[in-house]
Amino acid sequence: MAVKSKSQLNDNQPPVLGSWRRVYWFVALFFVVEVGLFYLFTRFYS
Amino acid sequence: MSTLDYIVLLGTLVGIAAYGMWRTRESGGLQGYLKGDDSIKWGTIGLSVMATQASAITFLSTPGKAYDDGMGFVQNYFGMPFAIIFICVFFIPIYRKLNVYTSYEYLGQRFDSKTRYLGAILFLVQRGLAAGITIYAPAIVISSLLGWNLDLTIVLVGALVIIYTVSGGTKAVSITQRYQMAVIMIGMFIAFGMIVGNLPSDISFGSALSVAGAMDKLEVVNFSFDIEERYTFWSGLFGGVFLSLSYFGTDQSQVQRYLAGSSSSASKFGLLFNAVVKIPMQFFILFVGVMVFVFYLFEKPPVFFNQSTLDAVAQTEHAGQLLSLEGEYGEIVDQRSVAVRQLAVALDKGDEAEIGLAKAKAVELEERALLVRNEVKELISKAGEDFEAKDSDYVFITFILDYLPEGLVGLLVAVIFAAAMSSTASELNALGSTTMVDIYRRLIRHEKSDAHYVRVSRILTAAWGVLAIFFALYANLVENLIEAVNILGSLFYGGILGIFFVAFFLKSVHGSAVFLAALITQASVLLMFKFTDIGYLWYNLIGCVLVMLLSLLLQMTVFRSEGKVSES
Repeated sequence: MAVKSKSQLNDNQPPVLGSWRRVYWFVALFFVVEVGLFYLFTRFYS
Repeated sequence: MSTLDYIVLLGTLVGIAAYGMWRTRESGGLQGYLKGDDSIKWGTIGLSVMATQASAITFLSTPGKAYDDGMGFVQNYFGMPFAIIFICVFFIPIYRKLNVYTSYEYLGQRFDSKTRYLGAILFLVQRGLAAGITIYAPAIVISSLLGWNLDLTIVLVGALVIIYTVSGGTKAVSITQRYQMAVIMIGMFIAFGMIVGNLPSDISFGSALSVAGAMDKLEVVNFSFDIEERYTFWSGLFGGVFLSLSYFGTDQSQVQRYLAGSSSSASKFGLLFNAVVKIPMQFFILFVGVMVFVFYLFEKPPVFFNQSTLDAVAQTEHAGQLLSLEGEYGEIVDQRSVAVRQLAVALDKGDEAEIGLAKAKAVELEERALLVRNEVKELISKAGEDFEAKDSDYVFITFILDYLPEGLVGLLVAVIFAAAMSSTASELNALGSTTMVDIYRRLIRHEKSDAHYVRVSRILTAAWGVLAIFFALYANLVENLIEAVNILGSLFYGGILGIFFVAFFLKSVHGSAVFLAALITQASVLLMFKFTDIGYLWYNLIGCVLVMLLSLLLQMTVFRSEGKVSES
């Protein structure tokens, strides 16, 4: 198996959270939390 | 505006443009000019993508929209995070692997030249028209309020954008957008602080929020399945996914931003930054608009926010009726101010009965005020065909001009023009690149030096800039222009996205089938638009699905033999 060079490895790694799968989950969960907060905000001020 | 305002305005706009040119004075080669030498970090890409999407009209119209309709518009962006994840998984790895300059180059590699030209030409038509509007929209608002010469404003703003975009290419666009975005956000935060600071001393921020809620301006999410509701969670999520997929995945003005990344990681992370930040940012801009609404509950607002139109109507036979409506409106908003103060006191005390009574009174007076405003708008329409009876774009800027101190007015006007310039720069950069890479280099001059192609890119970018200025100068001839451009985008986006989806996911389909499918789809969408009442946003979905289905069908029937030849 070919060993990836450092630059190739960096090219595929996100700057945070270790893997892209985790970054995508973070974005999706952030959206869910955001909509939840919007819902509470709407209910509180309606 | 005062001398200080002009110094701040010109210093900000010219300073950023000059800095962008200075930073990119030594970038050479085609790779450097079109893709910024692949050296741009994710933070700059993130801001550049954001600045490209946020045009001046975002900062003029969005607060005005919240002033009229509340916060529900933010739901329009709910599909964007998922579309961006999809683009990071499927689009970016392929673009980066093939090392393309434009997204349409990929179509040429996956299908054939004619499909590539089709994608490029659809983009050039739609974005070429939009570039003119991006300059025209803020120029008409600002020049009418400040009494500037409209044509001169358009030419000066357009020329400034052309100079730094032509000079420094993609890197100059990205670098200037970073600072333009910083100015925009600083300006918006200052404006928000000034609105809250200008509320009456006995009205706290909490009371202002409670009043806004009581006046139905703080409904952010609506889970209703009613398809007649314009903004709901569901329409934003599903409609928004397709719109964002087309815009971020296939529109060269955005693709060029993230392909300039120093790595695949930088491209993806810069784009994902927007998936996280865009919705809170839109929420904030709408919230600024709601606070302007609350401010004008206590301070007397104009009956119509475009003063120059009111002045023009006052010169017509309808002047008497306008004066009478203005008087009536003044009385109602005075009473409304008293009722809203009582509501704020009741909300602070938490007395439900008192809140109910005060709210009913305030809402009734608000409805009466709205009726008078609508009568004024009708009167404006009657007074002259050239008079624009819509004033939501003028609400926020009127507040800025009337209530912000010297210096800050200049900064906020700079915010509006910085947003216009950042979007226009991306558009011109993408139009020049697409014309050079997908048309000129393919059709006209195949084997020339990098220096030749850079020179041609510069000429083409400048030519598109001049065309955009020309279109902006004559934009007032088109009725309801901004909506026209939005409709135009939706009519083409679905088909383009469909071509890309076929390229990614339907490996058995070849060039001729997708090309013919795209042409039939485009004709069908245009016919549907002409003869049915389908809401234009749906054409993004219809166009995409139709191209995919027709491509499969044509590949299995008419172009069956072509598929076999390719496989063998």
